Amino acid sequence: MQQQDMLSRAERLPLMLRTLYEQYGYQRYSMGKFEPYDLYRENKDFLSSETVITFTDASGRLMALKPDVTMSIVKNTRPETRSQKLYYSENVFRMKPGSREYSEIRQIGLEYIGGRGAYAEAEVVRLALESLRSISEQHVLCLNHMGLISAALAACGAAGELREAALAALRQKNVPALRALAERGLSPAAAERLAALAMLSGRPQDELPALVRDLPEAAQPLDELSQLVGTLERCGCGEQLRLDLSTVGHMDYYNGLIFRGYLQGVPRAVLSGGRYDNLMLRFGKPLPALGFALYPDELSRALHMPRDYDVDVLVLFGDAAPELVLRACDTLRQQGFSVRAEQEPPPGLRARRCLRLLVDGGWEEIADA
Amino acid sequence: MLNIALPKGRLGKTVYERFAAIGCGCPELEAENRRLVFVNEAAGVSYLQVKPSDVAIYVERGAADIGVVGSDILLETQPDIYELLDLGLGRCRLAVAAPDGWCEEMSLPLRVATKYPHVAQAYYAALNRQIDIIKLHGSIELAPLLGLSDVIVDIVETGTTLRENGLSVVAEIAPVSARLIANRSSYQFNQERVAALIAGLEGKR
Repeated sequence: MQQQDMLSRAERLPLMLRTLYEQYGYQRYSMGKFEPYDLYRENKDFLSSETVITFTDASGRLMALKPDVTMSIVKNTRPETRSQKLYYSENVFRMKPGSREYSEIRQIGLEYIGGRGAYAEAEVVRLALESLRSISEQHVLCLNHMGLISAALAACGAAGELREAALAALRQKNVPALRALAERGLSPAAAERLAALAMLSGRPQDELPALVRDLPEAAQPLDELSQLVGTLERCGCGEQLRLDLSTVGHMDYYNGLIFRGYLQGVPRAVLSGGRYDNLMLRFGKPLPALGFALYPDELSRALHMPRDYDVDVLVLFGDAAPELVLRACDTLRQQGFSVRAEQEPPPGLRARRCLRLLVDGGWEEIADA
Repeated sequence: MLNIALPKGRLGKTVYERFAAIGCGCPELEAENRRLVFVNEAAGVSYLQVKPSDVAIYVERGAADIGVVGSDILLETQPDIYELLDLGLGRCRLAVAAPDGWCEEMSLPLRVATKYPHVAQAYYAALNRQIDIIKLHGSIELAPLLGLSDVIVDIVETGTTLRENGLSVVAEIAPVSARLIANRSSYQFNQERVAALIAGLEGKR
């Protein structure tokens, strides 16, 4: 058994991603499991789940198990920093939405602090594509732009509560709900227009020209998207991109480009990210920034490859002397086999071969263990 | 192969007929038997017959690519899926009902018996009304008759059951109808087929 085979695909993934991010000059960022709760309380509106798991430390200070890595990276960015490229592989702790259950979620991701303009977006999106590709060729990356969504909602006259409802429906491609907004004060034409936008999903190369024509209010975000898609296309990595207006993230958190990655056969998004200049501003750091995170837990089932055997060789040693057993098994191990020594065959164990060690040091092959 | 989750029962049957009419039929399913999975290799579809309240779970977790489910269940469970089309079938409404001539006692929390605790909670939270939820699984109409609850939150189709039990609707919460839903990830890989299906179903409305 080769060392390579011993690591499951799920275990190899973080190593592969680390190598990828290091190749692009990103540096590892590590953090503790808990931090003072104040950080999260003051910025609660940026967290996706409302409930942070808290406890008090010995001096009575309220602490929190970290629910998010990006926030801590932003907090630790010095204001004089011009550019910082970091990656992380951390566990975060959250309360599952809709239940009172705690969950521990693994996140692998990267942040490009100070990432300004077209190059930064091209690099980060390309790394997102490469990350997905290192897991499976059957992947897509859905792009969207929060500026595009804001402009579309404004153009349709959706404000206040109506805007919230439209946004939620857009996220679900909920055409019936968008049409029903006509009964809540949106003009029927605007509701129909939003319904068409919700269903918009396809290769950005095909979809962008029509959007540019129909939504002059969103000229700037559309121009940014067109530039990005063009760049990636010319670098030969535009094939798996999709423009999908249901890719809507946290409105307070993301402000520009936003994207989400899917793999065929995995029911939920495995990657999500975007530009979050607003979060930076909140922490008093007027720097642009973007990044993404992968959720390997969503993948573990897809990556899991059942093994046919638990062990290469099962050695049944019966009454043979211990040193004889050790030495005999060593010989097999040196040949590269994994060897399990047992006096009696353990029930349920699947071995490729089964050998009985005789008292004189000889072997007897057992066909059916 | 497109996996389609259908709700067992009358609604599922009507929905299946719609699918069959646009070339997604499955002869095996039409024969009466107790199987739960039906495959039509030639048409590239397979049908799962599941409990109506489980359809969204199958779709959200990717065991089915698309499914048909009542919007009452979507409101209650808030699954993370795409809700693509109103099929206009199984129309009814989610409503609050109380014994005829009932008068609300505002000095006490309202006792609400329901199969839809989240819907009820959200409805009364928006009214700032304190309530006491009594989660039941069936025969909801019985609760106010026995003094177990003040009102019920349930789906109302014709209102016959309510009338026969001396209850009447006091407030409407939302209209209900069958929706076509899709898994968020699988949609990205089956977009053309799903779009064709929607176009077909819309044409047959």
